Amino acid sequence: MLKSILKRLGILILVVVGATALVFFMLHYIPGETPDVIARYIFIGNIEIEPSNEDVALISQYYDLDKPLIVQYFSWLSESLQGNLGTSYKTGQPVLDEIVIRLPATIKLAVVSILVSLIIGIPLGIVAAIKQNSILDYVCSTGAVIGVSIPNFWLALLLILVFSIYLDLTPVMGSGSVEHLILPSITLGTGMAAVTARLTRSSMLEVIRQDYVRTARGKGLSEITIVVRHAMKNALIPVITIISLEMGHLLGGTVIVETIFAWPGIGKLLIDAISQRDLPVIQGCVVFMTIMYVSVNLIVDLSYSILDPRIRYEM
Amino acid sequence: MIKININSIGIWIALVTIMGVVVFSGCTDKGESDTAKIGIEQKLVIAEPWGISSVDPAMAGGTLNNFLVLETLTFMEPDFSLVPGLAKSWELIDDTTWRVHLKNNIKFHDNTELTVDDVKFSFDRNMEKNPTIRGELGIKSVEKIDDYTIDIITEKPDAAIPAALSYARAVIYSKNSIERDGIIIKPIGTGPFKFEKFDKATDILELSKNENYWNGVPKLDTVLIQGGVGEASTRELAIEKGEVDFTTEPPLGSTERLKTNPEFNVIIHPLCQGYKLNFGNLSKAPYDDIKVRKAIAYAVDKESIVEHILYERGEISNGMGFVPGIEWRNNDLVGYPYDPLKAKQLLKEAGWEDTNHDGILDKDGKAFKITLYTWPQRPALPPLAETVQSQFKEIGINAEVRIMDWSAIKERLNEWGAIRVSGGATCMRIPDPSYYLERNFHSEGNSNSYGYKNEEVDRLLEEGRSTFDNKSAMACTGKCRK
Repeated sequence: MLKSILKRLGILILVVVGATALVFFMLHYIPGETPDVIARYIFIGNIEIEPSNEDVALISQYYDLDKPLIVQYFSWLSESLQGNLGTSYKTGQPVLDEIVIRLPATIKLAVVSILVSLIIGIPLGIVAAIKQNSILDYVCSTGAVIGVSIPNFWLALLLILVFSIYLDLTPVMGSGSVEHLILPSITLGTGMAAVTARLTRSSMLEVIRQDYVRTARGKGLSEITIVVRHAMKNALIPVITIISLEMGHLLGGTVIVETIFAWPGIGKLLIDAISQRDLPVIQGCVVFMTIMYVSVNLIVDLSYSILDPRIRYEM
Repeated sequence: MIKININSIGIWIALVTIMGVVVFSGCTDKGESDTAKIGIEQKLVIAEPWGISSVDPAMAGGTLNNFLVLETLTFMEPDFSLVPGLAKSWELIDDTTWRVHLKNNIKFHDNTELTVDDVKFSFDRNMEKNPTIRGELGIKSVEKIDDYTIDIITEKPDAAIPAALSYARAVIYSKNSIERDGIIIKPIGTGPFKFEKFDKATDILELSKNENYWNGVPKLDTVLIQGGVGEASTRELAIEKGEVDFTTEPPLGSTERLKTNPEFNVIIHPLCQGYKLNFGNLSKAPYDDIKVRKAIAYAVDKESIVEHILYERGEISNGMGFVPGIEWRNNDLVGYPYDPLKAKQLLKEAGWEDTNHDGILDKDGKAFKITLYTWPQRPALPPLAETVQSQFKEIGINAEVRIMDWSAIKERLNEWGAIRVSGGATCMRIPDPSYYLERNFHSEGNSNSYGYKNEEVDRLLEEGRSTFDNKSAMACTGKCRK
């Protein structure tokens, strides 16, 4: 087990280097001259104002953007490996600080959204499976299809309209309190709940037809005990896989929801940094997101062995 | 200061320049505001579309000036005239030196007195940390004469310096402003509101009343600015809920809806903001032909755009983007009225005819198919581009609308027939006509991306900028407009 973890951590470094190299070189092939964009967004503060050629040259020189790409990348990599992710062009603050300051908001939103999706999705999926082909199943399945089809931005605005404007229960936007967390997490959680419900249903249908469940029924156990203690544990393994991917995705930020609710998370930081070509922040976010994604996957892989003793790591 | 009267110089690029009205504030009794919760009597909550990110004046001077924390040596009045700010007067010493006299007894928020040392510190720091500020101001250096007198040395003779000193990013702050690692984290200014704190985690900037403000005590006790509310609908709904008192760039048409609600008092302020069509490249076909450019100007129904896209908030500028009330605006200018027949006639004279009867004009086998590029950040731009697209269709021009990031558009402007449908980039960042004209029409102007070249215009613009006598400057631009 320990060997496996160490191996995965070793791979993590390679993944981070690969991801940052890929993003770094791709950034230079997207439209727009990097120093020109930096001049507009960061120094002038208005994308519609053209910078002078002298200013663009000066900025290019100041940030070493006039050097070959490979030199720029390895210079960044060598600093990063020593723990220095650089400073943001925009704020002049260390990139790590920029990320860390947004981390609590990002984690809070990710965790609560996942909880919302589990609380809604798993019971719906189980009910739909147990009552297969009943009206309840159709309602749950239709609800899941609708849930997964609703665009986030539409649902977000609808929720604001209903809960903030008509019912006056929640704030429209912002962060800092539990109330602020309600609508963004419901928005994100609903779409994921739909996926969770569908997956739980199909997985549950498979499990409840297996011999050991039939045996449990034969022993005269109650249906609730069969579902909760015997079937659910195995049925949830694929659900956990999906949830882990969703978790990795959420920890990388959710741009649309963060924008609509003015939620200051990592996603918005990254998107703003890409627009402004704040290269150190982009690279920092990629490092962070890659680590998050790989770590969550590792944790989930480890959790399989707890949920299903048949799964063991023999490395 | 130079007074310049502008006429039809705008035909080269400005086809539709409509003054938008986009600031929006609502007052409501609905809901329990934060003010009531914490017992503060006068509190204003603002939703700002852009993120705040930094409070270092070298990078965020414009933001801090907009929110009345930091001030400039000269001020621009609502009618765009120039008045003394932290400076009480200014005079020209020689062709490249302006002497500025500071007002006495102006106190910073930390109760220390404003002196030339702070002014020099601010200019030197701003220009060092942000090279674009030096370029925009045209200042070479600032030299202390005594505690209340400073000399502004320019690169070349520049009559626009007093106006440039009102530029929102030429802000003055105390040398005692608190720095960390070379970045100012607590700016100390002279404005009506004091910087209290900036919470980067929530993107909220908090200001408080400056009881000792030199120009009268402000009525508000606290101002809270929530940055990064990028979604226009969110800003509108926050106003409706009563969470926010003031915002900019609400969704088009939202004010009409809120006006019908008796709980709201909607106040709309005019802004100097233009919408226009920029030809991609004037030296290439089809826009190297003035008849084509004029035809396009006649083909755009500007009145319809103001009525249907801008909800009647704005007016046709007839040429340049100078708003009504500016002293150098030529109010007699008639511009190019909507006249599709004339547009067709001009295109025919330029050799564009529909020879294959497919509804699209052609010339030497080349169909008149163009692209209108615009970007999504300004709510009016995409519908405006689509309206222009349908109006072009009426005269036989097939236009495709492409909405993309600004930086991606710049590289496409050399394509055949490219037009940029743009907004913002106001003419009044610095209240002097030469600033805007030079940027746009001088052959080396920063914003002259369409490649307009005219040696006579270059000469007149340079002459106007370096002429300190108003009458002579007027004469320069008089010739220029012909």
